[in-house]
Amino acid sequence: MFLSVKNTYLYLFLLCLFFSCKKNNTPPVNPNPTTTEFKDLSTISYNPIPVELPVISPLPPMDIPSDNPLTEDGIALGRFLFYDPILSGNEKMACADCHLPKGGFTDNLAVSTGVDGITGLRSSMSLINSGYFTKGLFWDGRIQTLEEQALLPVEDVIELHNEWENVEEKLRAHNDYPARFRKAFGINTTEGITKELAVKAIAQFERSLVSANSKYDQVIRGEAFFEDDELTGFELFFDEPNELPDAECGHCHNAPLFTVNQYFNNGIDSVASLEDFKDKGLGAITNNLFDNGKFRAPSLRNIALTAPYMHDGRFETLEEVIDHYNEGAHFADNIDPLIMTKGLGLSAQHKKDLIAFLHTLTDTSFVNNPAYQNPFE
Amino acid sequence: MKNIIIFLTFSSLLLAASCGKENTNPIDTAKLNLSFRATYGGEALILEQKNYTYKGNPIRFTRINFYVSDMAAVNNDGETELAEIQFINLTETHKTQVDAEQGTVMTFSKVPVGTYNQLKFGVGVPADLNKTNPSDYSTSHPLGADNSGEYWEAWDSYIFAKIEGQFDTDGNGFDGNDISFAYHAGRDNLYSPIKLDNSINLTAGNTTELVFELDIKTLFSFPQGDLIDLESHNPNGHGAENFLIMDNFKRALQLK
Ligand code: HEC
Ligand code: HEC
Repeated sequence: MFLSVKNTYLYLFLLCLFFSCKKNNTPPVNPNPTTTEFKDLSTISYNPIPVELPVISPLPPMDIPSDNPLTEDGIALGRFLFYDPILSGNEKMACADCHLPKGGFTDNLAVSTGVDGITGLRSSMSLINSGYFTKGLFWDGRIQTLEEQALLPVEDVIELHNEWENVEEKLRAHNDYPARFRKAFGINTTEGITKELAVKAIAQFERSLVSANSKYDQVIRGEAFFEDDELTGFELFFDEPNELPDAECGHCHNAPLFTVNQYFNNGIDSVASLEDFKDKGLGAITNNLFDNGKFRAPSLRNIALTAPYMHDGRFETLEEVIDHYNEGAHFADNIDPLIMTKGLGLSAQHKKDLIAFLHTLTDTSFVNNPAYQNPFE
Repeated sequence: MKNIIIFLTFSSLLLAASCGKENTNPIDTAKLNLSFRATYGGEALILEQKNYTYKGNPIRFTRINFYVSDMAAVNNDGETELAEIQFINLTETHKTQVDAEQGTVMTFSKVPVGTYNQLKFGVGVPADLNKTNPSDYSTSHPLGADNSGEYWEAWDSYIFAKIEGQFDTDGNGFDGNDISFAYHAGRDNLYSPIKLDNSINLTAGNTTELVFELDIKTLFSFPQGDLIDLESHNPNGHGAENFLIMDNFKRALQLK
């Protein structure tokens, strides 16, 4: 009796084990038997080589999500996908068409035009150092991670206007991509090629876009010196305590990323009330009236390459941007206190100095880095 | 017989695993929640949408944040460190009445049980940490690049506390002629050490809640009670007003 009770327990226990094992061992069922057979990839070697991003002073180490560590093959796959028009509905447009290296990973247009020729409302954003931005992506912060972000352009009608299912199918049937997905993520069959893995790869490529070799960086590392005008511009930008006026820029565009990753109304719109912003920015996401007209302060690294400026590309040149801050800021109930509606008091020479400093944020070794260029060329 | 052995092996393994867990925790601990709530003249403070009266005219606040550091609970046995550095962002938690009554909550999940008679900490960044800058930390650290808005190059210092808002100087509604103020206080000599005597009894497995109220009107007042004259942004972070504001944390921050 004693024995048989214990045996019952034992059998129950083994039964549980059996079921839990069985679940894992069941071969994947094809939910839709009419679609193509999945190809076996397990004979292709899977030896992921981890990539440690170098920590280049003055940039801090980047936080990498634990479920998407960088690998050589992951970054390489992401780079192909980023440049490949296969992601778009008519196979004519890639991410890179709106984010070009020579434009500091923007398209140099006021607002971007998608694959069907439809014009959007916002200006393309630079992807430089975007792996560091953890307080929301886009001008309004509506997305938190690069992985989530990369899902969107593919199905956005004013961007790539496609369906992910469609993309997945094309990637599975492709000559080259199945092996690349296997090497990057160790999948066993082409069924493993999913949008989730595609965006992980793209995000890995984006995290590799690190820029820290501008003249500014070299000066901070003691490898170079500012010219006089650049130095004066630096002092204006960071409100150095001297006889120069304070341009207040550093409060919102602080080193080392040249953004504080926060949302402000920097006074570019003249509105009668907070309801009246054409593009409500952060307010459309939070539904807080006081957030209307607030946008993320973008990084100013490589800013000389990313004209035109602001979320709608309203300013053609850096001169116009400085004129705005110096004398053109409009009051609103939520204007930031560091935006001076009464003006900054910068002279014509000060403005030139400030622009000279902004040019020291250009990192040509970044934009020309062979690892970031189109792999199909 | 074989079955019995297998069974005994399994069950003793299970037992061992469950026992092991408890043994790793020799000291009993309790959970301590500290919440920080801003008030204005004793009333819950709501940012942006609500106006208060300052020297007879309307005032509103848009940003309140500060660092607390070297936080410890003290008793006769010594000090139990709670946190080296924390960023208290009341801006995010004071936009509605409901949120303002909740405040910003810091949770310490494993504080050794016992009776403590004092909480001590500093408002600001202590000198040893204030020598560093955001490049020295991972991005999401309270002193890291995600918070680089709280570091000011020109002083080689973190901004210990920020209080921003608008003051309707002429009482005819907020407009471009009024004062947008931004009090940013920093630099080592503005570090403001605080000791609050209070008996705190932490018992095993229980959660204790302590509430700090920070009265912003008190922050802006001289010890005799007069309010300071508000000015537009004054970049001189160690100026007299900022010194007073930092010192005032001692009076303005009270355990409820
Ligand atoms: C039609 C042009 C267009 C295409 C194609 C496009 N983007 Fe963008 N991208 C934009 C615009 C415009 C924004 C800003 C949108 C906003 O704020 O609402 C943006 C923003 C971003 C951001 C946010 C950057 C930041 O700092 O917040 C990332 C990341 C990004 N795009 C990556 C991609 C990827 C990856 C693809 C391809 C899968 C892609 N983009 C395709 C135009 C485009
Ligand atoms: C109160 C915060 C704040 C201050 C101070 C500030 N900015 Fe900005 N800046 C922003 C925000 C927010 C945006 C984006 C606004 C938008 O697009 O609607 C921006 C945009 C810009 C852009 C355009 C970036 C792009 O990619 O299109 C430039 C250039 C710029 N600022 C330079 C400066 C300079 C130079 C100063 C000092 C004179 C300065 N900013 C001061 C918040 C600020």
